[in-house]
Amino acid sequence: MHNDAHADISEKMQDAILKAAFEEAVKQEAASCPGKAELDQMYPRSEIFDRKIGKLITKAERSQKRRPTIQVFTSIAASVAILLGVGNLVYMTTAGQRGPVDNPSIVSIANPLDARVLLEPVAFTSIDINGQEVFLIESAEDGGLHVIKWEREGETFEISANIEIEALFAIVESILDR
Amino acid sequence: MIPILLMAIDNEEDRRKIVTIYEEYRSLMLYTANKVLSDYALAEDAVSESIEKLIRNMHKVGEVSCYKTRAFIVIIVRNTALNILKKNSRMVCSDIEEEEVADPAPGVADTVVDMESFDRIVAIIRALPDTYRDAAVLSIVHERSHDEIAEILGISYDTAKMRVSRAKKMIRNNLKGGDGYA
Repeated sequence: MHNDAHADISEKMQDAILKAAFEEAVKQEAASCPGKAELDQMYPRSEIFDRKIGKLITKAERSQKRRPTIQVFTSIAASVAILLGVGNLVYMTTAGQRGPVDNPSIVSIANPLDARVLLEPVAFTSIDINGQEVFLIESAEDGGLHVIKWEREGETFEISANIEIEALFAIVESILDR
Repeated sequence: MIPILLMAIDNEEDRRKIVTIYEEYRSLMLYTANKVLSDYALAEDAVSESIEKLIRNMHKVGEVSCYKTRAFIVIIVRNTALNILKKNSRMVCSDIEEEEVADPAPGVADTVVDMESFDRIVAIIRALPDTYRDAAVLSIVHERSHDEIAEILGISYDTAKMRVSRAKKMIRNNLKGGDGYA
């Protein structure tokens, strides 16, 4: 029993020493590397690469946001779902607290329950419009309804309507042109 | 499509963290990748892939400006670069890599450590091949499981387990006959 306890303590000590030695090795390795200023000089910033990484981060965020679509739209009930013109064309931001979109043709608040039905996408297609990546939800449960989703300056926007997809794209294009 | 779906930033804090990591370690990541690949374009690819891995492992990243985080990032980038190098040069993993090595028996009776022998252990660790050292650092310093190590390094569970085990064995073998530890 005594020997077992001794071996146990010895093993624990050994593990602790090994851990301390590994931590010291990691610190020494870091210290042997050139400093940040020197590395920054060796590898100057590249706008293209920065943008590529920015896109990666945005995509990771978007994939997270996509999952709870229904909850997002429930939270929109008291927010900024906005009708454009007559019919059921809906243009909205996904965050409830955000202000109305700068668009003179906004006429009234949409019925949030309608919007909820629209959001059961079965497929996404990524399309570039005026240099912006937009996502087309090709079909929805509700017949001919189309939904387009995009992101600008960190905000996600959606537009949906029971109109021809080309007409919906034209509207998105004009919005992105502003 | 799958890698994009698998990686996700859960909240604003994670987003800020990954942006800060990129800002702080961008050049270090490129330097680390380029050291392995000697090709700037491939180094950029390795950094992009590493950022994706970091996003997937955000919950394992602690304080950004910390030597542990720095080491974690270097390990991810270095191994991503090594994987790219292997892929590009169609390098076949040596049989030794696949060989299962049992953990050495833990029964070390007495442990006597002075500064000199501690420094010797550190030197041995630093001289370990990168692949073994990285796996051992993830296991011993970052306390990651073999599953997690396998995911981070892009290797199988068995290889991860074998690398950790072999690193420890190499240290012990190197110390054999010397003073102090082991």
